[in-house]
Amino acid sequence: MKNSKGNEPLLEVKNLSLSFIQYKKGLRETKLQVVRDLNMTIHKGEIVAVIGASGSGKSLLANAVLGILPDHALLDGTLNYKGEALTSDRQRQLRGNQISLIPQSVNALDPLMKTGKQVQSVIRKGNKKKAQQSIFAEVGLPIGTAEKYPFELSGGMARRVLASTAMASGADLIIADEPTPGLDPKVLNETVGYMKQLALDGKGIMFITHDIETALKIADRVVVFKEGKTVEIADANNFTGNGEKLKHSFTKQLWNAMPQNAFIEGVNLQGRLPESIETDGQGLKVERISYHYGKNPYLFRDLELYVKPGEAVGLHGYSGSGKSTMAQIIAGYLKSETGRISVNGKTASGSKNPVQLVWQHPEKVINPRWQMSKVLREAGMTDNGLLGELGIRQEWLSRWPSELSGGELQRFCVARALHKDTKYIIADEMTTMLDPITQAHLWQTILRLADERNIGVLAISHDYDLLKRVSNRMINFNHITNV
Amino acid sequence: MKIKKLTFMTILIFVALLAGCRGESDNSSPKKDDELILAIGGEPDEGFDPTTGWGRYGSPLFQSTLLTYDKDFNIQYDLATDYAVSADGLKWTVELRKDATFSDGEALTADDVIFTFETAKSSGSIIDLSNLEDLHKVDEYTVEFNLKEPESTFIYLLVSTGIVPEHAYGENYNENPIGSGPYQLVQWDKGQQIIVEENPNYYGDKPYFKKMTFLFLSEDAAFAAAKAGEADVVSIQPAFADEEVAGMKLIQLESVDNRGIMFPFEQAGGETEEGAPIGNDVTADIAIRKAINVGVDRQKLVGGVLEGFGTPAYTVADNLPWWNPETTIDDNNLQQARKILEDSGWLENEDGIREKNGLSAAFTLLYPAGDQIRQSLSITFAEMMRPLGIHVIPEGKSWNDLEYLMYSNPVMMGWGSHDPLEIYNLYSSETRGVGYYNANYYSNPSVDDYLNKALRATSESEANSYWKKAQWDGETGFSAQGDAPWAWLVNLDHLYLIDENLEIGEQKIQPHGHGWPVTDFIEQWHWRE
Amino acid sequence: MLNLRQRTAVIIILAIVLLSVIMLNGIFMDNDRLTVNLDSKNNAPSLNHLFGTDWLGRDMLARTLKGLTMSMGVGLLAAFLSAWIALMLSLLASLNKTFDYMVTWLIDLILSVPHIVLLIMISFAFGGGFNGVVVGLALTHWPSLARLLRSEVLQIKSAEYVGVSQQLGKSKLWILRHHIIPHLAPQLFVGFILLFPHVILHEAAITFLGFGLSTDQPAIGVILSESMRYLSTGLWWLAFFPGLSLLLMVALFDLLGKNIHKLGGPFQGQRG
Repeated sequence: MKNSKGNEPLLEVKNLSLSFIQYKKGLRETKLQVVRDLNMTIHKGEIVAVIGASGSGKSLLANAVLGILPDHALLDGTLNYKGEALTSDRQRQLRGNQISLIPQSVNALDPLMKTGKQVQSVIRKGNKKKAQQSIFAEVGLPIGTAEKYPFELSGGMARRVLASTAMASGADLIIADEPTPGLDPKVLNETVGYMKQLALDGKGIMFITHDIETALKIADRVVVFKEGKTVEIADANNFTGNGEKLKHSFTKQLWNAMPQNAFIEGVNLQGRLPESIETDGQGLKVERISYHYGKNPYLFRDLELYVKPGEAVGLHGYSGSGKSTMAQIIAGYLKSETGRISVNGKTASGSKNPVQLVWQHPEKVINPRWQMSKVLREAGMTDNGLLGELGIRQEWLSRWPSELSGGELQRFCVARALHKDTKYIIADEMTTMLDPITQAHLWQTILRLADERNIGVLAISHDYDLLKRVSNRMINFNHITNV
Repeated sequence: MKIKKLTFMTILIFVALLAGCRGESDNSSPKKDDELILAIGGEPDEGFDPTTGWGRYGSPLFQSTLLTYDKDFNIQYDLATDYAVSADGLKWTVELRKDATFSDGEALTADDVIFTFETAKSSGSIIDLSNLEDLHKVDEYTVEFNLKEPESTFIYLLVSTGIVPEHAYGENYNENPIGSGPYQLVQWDKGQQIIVEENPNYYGDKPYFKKMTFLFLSEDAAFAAAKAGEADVVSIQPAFADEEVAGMKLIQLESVDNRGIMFPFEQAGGETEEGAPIGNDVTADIAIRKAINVGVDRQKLVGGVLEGFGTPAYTVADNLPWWNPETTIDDNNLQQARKILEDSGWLENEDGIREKNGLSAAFTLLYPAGDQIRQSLSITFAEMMRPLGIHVIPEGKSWNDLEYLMYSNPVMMGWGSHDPLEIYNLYSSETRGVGYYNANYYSNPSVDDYLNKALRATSESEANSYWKKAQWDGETGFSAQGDAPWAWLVNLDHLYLIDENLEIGEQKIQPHGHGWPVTDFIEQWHWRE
Repeated sequence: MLNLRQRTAVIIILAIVLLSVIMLNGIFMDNDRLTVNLDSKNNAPSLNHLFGTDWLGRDMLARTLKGLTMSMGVGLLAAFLSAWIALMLSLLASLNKTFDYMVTWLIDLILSVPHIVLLIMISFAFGGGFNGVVVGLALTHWPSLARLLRSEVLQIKSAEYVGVSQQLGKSKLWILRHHIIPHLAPQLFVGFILLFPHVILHEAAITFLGFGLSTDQPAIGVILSESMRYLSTGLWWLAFFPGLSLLLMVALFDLLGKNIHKLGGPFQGQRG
């Protein structure tokens, strides 16, 4: 669909840079540059994917276009919409009208308003109700949906409502910010389908994601982001083979580091993984655990699971299925209603838990008031070799969590979880928010150490390809929940 | 939000200021010929029942008394037409006038007098009739009082006790007083006002004003009422006295409404029955008390604190018939005061405070918190004592606290009565620690002797001569010339703003307590012709 | 041009300097200014007496400074005690559900009674005067801060990183010291500073009403209530300047608290 040349671009971003006024300790004011020299254009009917790890600044780009940056942000460069500069006044006029946002979370729906009303509220012209009904039909929402409140909808339906809102608004430019986080393939494909449909209707779409695979499925062009810089703008079909058509080495690395490609160049992880080891009675044993929140149905019931020492088990499941809850129970954060967790036959006592969890969002599990060195001290982690292997630089130790990126913080979390008493490690969507290169790197280290120290690994993810690369044995979460 | 509150307060203050600055409007409200509006304070909490104390200070207004004072404190007849005291001073016979009736028309007879005194005796109120053995009716218009012991001051009870009607006395009498006085109560709006009208059955001279309204206003409101021309007689504080108010004139009445410092007379160590400490080592030293009396500048206190509206006080009863003028001393004499102190061994240390045998010449001077005049007097007094090397720390306390602390700390007190019994109560050994009387535990046998003789005296003049000797007989006495257990400082003038056309005639020396005393001769008030 | 942080810091320093000047002046002031001088009483404000003189010829500027110092002392003591109570109760509430219920109940109870009424009652029960006022203020001003701290404690207790510490075998005390207290400290400090204006105003208020400090104390409340009687005689400066000064001091404390809050640690003040 490179038919739009000659047309006036819908959105034109030239030499855009974005920085924040920030205070270091004390009174020094510094500018923190988060986006540098960004160039991109979106034409009508085009989907442009913006990919990058979390914290690379891609969401800020969306906010800059929408004009919803925080006050202390400084914007420089050119932003044109339909050939005219996007002033903040114009942004206010166009927002939700000509430029529309599909947010990442379904929580963006107003919980107190019927979904039909919410969609109708963005329609400007004509019979609102009729328009809304035809859109709902188009995305395959049942007739009764309009009368329902968001909490009555399934996750997939809620996403369709979000998409309907964008469609109904009649906007020409749609910004989809991470619209497919860890979704199961059905919902993912649906969502992606609507995007395509929107593009066919002549809208321009900025598709922001860290999920390269999905991005490549629908995008015409891909803007590769790294630490606020545009590394490369490549045609989607250049991502093929070993990345020979890609210009920039980072893009190549990125492409190759994906689990479905080489994962880590020169390292055949598959070969390093041990075969399932027979051990008698040894291992992490999860027996008959059950859990449900309040009046909701059981997430899982009488769930059984085991991990042997030195074994890497992949647990595959999609967002919202309850696998994080299970992980927290196994790691001792939550109490199961039934059953028991034991390591080598013993249940965990109050002291250091031999089962350690690495969470999806590292910034939530690090006290923002602690310097990084304290985070390591807390776990008694002094193995400089390991720190080096994880790529933790010495100068990071004196930094505050807010001064490090998600990928950098996750390295600390991994280091913390691998203290010397750790026997089992549970990695719950550990690398989902990270770029493929960091992902591959972290897994490489964990698997080497697991091998060396005979640590059992339970890898939990929605990413089947990743799990295939890092585990000896795969379990489908849906098969063990008993619900 | 709290800041808003304060801003609001500040604005209020401004508004108040503006209101205060408002130019005097012409108060040309037409005067009703025979009506008066007074704002002189003094609403009695307990109502208008003479058997429980109403009318002791000044005229009872609704009732009349057996005897009365003229403005020079000579005893005059009122309801009585004659009285006689037996030679032993125990039997008092009083004859009543026959034309007196109560406002309801019933005649006033010996039965009513007997009823009044018996009720008062049994009421246990502040009227002390414990010395009254019994009283009985000789005939319809003659009453005989029998005392347990001779008491010259008994006559003042006859002066101050209004007679109540036996037939109309009941539980609500205090709110519905029927009497034989010049006025009768028409209406009492508690906390606001009373309205009185002339008693048509009054046996005495008919008052000029037929109707009077007494407003009970705060100082500020009363002053504002005067400015607005809404009241004809207004009592005011010295601080307001400089203000010119159109159509009003300032009346300045001399008084024995005095203020002075009561010094604990004994050494510390004792305790009252309630366990309150008695005595103070510093003020137990007569040199300290004398030096203070000589060193203090009373005239300056009058000028500075009272704005000149007052007189220096030397005793509790200045200028009353039983006052001894020899008690007046030369004060503001620092040199002599220092000499007294040094002769007695009080020497200055490097801080400028005197010491004697390791005891520092310092004490806390207590005053009732909220009484601004006593506070100002205390603060100013403390300053005056500094050059003498006596360290005085003024401290405001509630009356509750004072009742516990007054036996062991100097207190800024106020007295002043038209009854010389007060002298006995303040200075007799018998009354040590009895309530507020003689709370400093003063005791001097010679003074006791004079006081008892004064009480036993059978004539006023005899009694007065002993009262005077108790103050100073040339060698000893309770005044500053003698033991100086008190340092009397000032007598407060009572100040009233009255309509410039109103004549209230000459007044007696006013007693302690503002308010009603000014109405003593209300029958004689009239508009200037 | 100063940046935002520097501006904040300058405001804080100015506020502290001004408050210190008031306090040092109050403490080390030449007492001669306070003495009775009957020759120059009721003077309107002039160069010699910036705030005028009262009915005993005392310099109102000196009295006001003394009064402000007194208020600050009372405020410091009471706010400190209040903050201490708030901290202790919020930590108590974090122990278990029963304690939490009790603390919440106590907070609601105290907050349901009109502040000034409770203050007067407690102050009276403790015999009035300096002690009564301080105890009364301390016992009535903690609830809102305690409520804030309690919710902070609850929030941080459920934070994932606290869970991590537990799984790393750390004791409750360790978590208290390393997670909870450091998290509460800035809140507590700012809360403490912001308690000041409340405490000071309430002190002045109940003193003004006659339930607070004794009239011989050089407190602003006393000065204001005394001055009320002289207002109608036109001595406006007796109430105006002390009232204004009190207002200013309270505003200064408010400014100080809010700016310290803005400055925060490295974790606050990033937003505008």
